[in-house]
Amino acid sequence: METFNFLLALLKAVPWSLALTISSFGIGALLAIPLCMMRISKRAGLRAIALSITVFIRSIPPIVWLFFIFFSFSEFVVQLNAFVAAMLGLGLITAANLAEIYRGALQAIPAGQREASHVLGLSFWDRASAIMVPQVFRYSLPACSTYAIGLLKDTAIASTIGVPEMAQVAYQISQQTFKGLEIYALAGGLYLVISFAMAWLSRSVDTGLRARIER
Amino acid sequence: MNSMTIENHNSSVHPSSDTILSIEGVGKKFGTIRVLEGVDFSLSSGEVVAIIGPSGSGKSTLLRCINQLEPQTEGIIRVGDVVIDALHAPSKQQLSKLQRKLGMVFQSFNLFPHLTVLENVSLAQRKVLGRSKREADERSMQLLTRVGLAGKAEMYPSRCSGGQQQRIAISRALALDPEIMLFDEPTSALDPEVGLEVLAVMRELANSGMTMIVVTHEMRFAEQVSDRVVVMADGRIIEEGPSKDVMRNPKHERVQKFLTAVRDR
Amino acid sequence: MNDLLSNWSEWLPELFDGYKFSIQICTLALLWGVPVGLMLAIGTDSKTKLLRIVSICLVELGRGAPVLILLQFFYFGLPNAHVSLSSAAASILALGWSTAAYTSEIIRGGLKAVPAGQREAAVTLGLPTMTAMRIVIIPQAMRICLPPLLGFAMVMLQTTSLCFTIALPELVARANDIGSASFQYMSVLMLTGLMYAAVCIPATVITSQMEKRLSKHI
Repeated sequence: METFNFLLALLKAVPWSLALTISSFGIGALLAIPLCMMRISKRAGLRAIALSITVFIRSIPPIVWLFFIFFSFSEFVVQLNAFVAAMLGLGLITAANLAEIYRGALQAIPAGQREASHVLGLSFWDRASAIMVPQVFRYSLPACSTYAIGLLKDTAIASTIGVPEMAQVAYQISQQTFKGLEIYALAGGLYLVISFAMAWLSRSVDTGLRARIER
Repeated sequence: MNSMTIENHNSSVHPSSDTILSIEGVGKKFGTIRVLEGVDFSLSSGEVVAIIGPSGSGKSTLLRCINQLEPQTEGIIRVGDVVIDALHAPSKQQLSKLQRKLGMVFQSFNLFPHLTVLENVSLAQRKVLGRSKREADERSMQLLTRVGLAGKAEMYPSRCSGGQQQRIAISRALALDPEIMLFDEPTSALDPEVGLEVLAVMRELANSGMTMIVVTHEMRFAEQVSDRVVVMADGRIIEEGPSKDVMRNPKHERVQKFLTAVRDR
Repeated sequence: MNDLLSNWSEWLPELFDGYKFSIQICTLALLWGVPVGLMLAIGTDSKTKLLRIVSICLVELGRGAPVLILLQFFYFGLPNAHVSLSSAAASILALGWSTAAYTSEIIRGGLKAVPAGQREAAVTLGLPTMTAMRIVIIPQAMRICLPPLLGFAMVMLQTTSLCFTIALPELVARANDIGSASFQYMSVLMLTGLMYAAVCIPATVITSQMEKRLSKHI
């Protein structure tokens, strides 16, 4: 009976974990676009700045970013609630990682296509929207979904700044009932189930897209 | 799939007392794709046989079936007292016995890049034949000297040219004292002049009495060094006989066309 | 600015102490995690069904569960099974399992990348399978794996920061202590971040140089 209550408590926290995953991913996916464009810019200065930003973000542990944003922003700028702080921190890290994925996908598009569309007289925006973006989307999807599944696991870190997602709930219950074995096994299992669901979803989308945009 | 030279075809399956290898009805399919069909072939001790033919004729596949890198899907392969039947998967002991009798030289050499030349040649001697390090290294140096590469013993393969690497590969195979040496297009990945070094080694090996099966595009080698030439096309043997006969007066029209095309390039 | 620097120099010794802990735990986790990762890489492709299933389970669990959950499972959970681990032991076990799971995938990729001709040469020379793996295939695979493994080592160093939740006195734990004592969170966290970056950024540079050099050989 107690196990059932544990499970219920964890399930109530799932929306938080998912919300954090989706919102961080969304922010990161958007921010990654200008970052990626800087990375492939013709101007060496922009490329260097983008590279430095990316490397810097990825060289600092997520928990430090979250603490920094949560404690320092709150101190000096504006009182952020834990969810927003976690969303911003994870979003920042996601942006750095997705920019690299986008870049890889862009490089996978044969150079001939860029040349052909140039010669056809398509404007930059036409080229970008009609030719590049759909293919970048298609080619980066596998890596992006793999990253998203990793991001779900990273949201557990938000438990350290008090976001009531799955890891937080597990911790609270373990401290209150001293039944750590059970609760953490349940929590771990739940993360696995959600990861498998996400992986299945991304495979279906990928198969669907394959039919439309063949390599 | 028209006339096969029947007399030559049958005369190849002669159970003479020094038959060291025989293949009966060997076929190979990869899924639904047929690569070899109805191949009958035998080899006597000390014979050098060249297998020639257009690309895709199944020559390499036949060689790879002989040493079971690919198991055949039909037919029987006999090497000495080891019999491998397509219907029964060979045991580990059988495979191991087979490997001991056969030495193989690959088109892409396949030397171990992270070991020195000497280590490449000595490794199998120590691990398979159980020779001591000293014994193995001595034998390795003998073989390397024989192919003129004793000076390269302590170097890594990447520092050797293609022709040198292939000669080292030959030494590596010879170090295990095989009964039969198999060569899978040994010079195809080499520049023509460099290929000559390798062919010289192979010629010397043939003259010393080694039993060899050589899949090759080198027509002069086929004519001058080998005793017998086997011509394959579309997965079958279409002509076979003493090398000078086949190379100069081929009976089969397809073989005539092939040889003319190759000679006139 | 002077205040900042003087604070930093004041805090540095303690943070350094914590960093040493982080590096030790990371090293120990890698030391046992990577060899197990190699075993799992071989095990997941094994022909023996039992071995294959066990290996796949260990990999999926080690990769599928958040590291934080693994850490807290070993530290807060195992006492229920009458196994009490110190925070260091729990950290090394949990991080090692995570390492084994992730590196098994990296190493599998490396094993597949060794040219097929190498295996064929070993077979035709009659080398027994285990010997061929040990002397021919694995050394070449590890060379190929080196850049991604190094990258993973850096990720693992950053992951030690999570051990702060199970009372390990590593870098972030010390930073947190200083922060709560001095209320200068921003300052101490900046220094902490820089300390991680000081190791991870050069490592990233070295890894990409290595990758460039390796791809030249191919």
